[in-house]
Amino acid sequence: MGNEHSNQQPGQPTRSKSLTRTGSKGPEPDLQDDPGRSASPGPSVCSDSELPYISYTVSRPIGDSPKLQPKHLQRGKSATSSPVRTRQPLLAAKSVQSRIRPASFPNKTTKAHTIVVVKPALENNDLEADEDQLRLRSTPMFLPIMRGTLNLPAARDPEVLERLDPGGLVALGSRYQQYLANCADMVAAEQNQLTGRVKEIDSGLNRLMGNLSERQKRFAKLAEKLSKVHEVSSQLNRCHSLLNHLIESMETLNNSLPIDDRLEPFVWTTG
Amino acid sequence: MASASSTSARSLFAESKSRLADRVQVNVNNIASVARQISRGSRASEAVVHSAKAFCQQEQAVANSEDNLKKMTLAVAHLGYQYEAINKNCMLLEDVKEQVRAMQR
Repeated sequence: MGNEHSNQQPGQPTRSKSLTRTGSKGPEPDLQDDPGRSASPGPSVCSDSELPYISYTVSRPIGDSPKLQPKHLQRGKSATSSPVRTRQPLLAAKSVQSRIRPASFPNKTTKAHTIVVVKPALENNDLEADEDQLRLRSTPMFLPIMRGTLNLPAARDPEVLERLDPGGLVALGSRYQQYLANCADMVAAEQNQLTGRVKEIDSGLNRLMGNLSERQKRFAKLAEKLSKVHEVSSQLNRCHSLLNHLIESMETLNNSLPIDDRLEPFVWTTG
Repeated sequence: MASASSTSARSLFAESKSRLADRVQVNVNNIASVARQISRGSRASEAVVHSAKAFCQQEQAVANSEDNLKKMTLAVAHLGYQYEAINKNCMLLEDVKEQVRAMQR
């Protein structure tokens, strides 16, 4: 244990620097000694005057990344000295940031649950450029409202709660709620209006369609009736020609009779 | 001394870390419940979803209207033909009148 600590002492400043630098070399020497432990602060940070956890955890995530697999790392460390695994930041890169060099991990490729690389690791080692981490780091240091209530959670609750006024937050929340309700109501009202218009238009079109079809039927009947005019005219023509023929044949017949029996010439008169 | 303080420091920090994590979790959950209350209390999503459903049900009506419009274009074309036919027959009426008058002479 003592040996471990004495090893850790000089290693700590390099560890802290490397975490901000690359993050890849950082945890390795530490975890080589103590694979299952989280990155706890060194003895220099330990002091009773100030709350230790705040100054430590401002710039560093608490504990390890949940994706840390110490067993693999142990095996990896034994196989090679160079780091082959980047520590995944807490705030979630979506891709699996594991770089596997197959030559150095022969046992891994043959395992049943080998790591499947969905997307190759980003070559960007720049952990500091991550937006979310930058924003996290830029939050100012603050002390909790109820200091010292970690150890005694119920000790000064009523006192502090009297001093805390939730009215502002409640007002903000209810205003936002009202605003959301107004926006949603406006949108829903307009949408319902549109729906009503669609219905109106549909019914209007239906009516129009009925009118048109009715008119079409009527006109079809009328057109059929009027088309009889054509028939009438053709029949009239036939009548006319037949009558003329008749008159001619009557003339010839009359002329073929002897003069005594001839009728008077036929004159076409109308009454 | 150094070892004792560092072990105690480590144990101290482990416990405080877990407590801090718990507090943070409680706070985050509280904030989340406040947000959920705001969004549910405003019934924003309900209203919007309701109106969206009603609008979707008009899709059938819209398709119907489109059908009607297409039929109307056809009907208008038919009406045009009928008008032409009626016109032609009206002109023929005049001729027929002439013919009758000619036959009467």
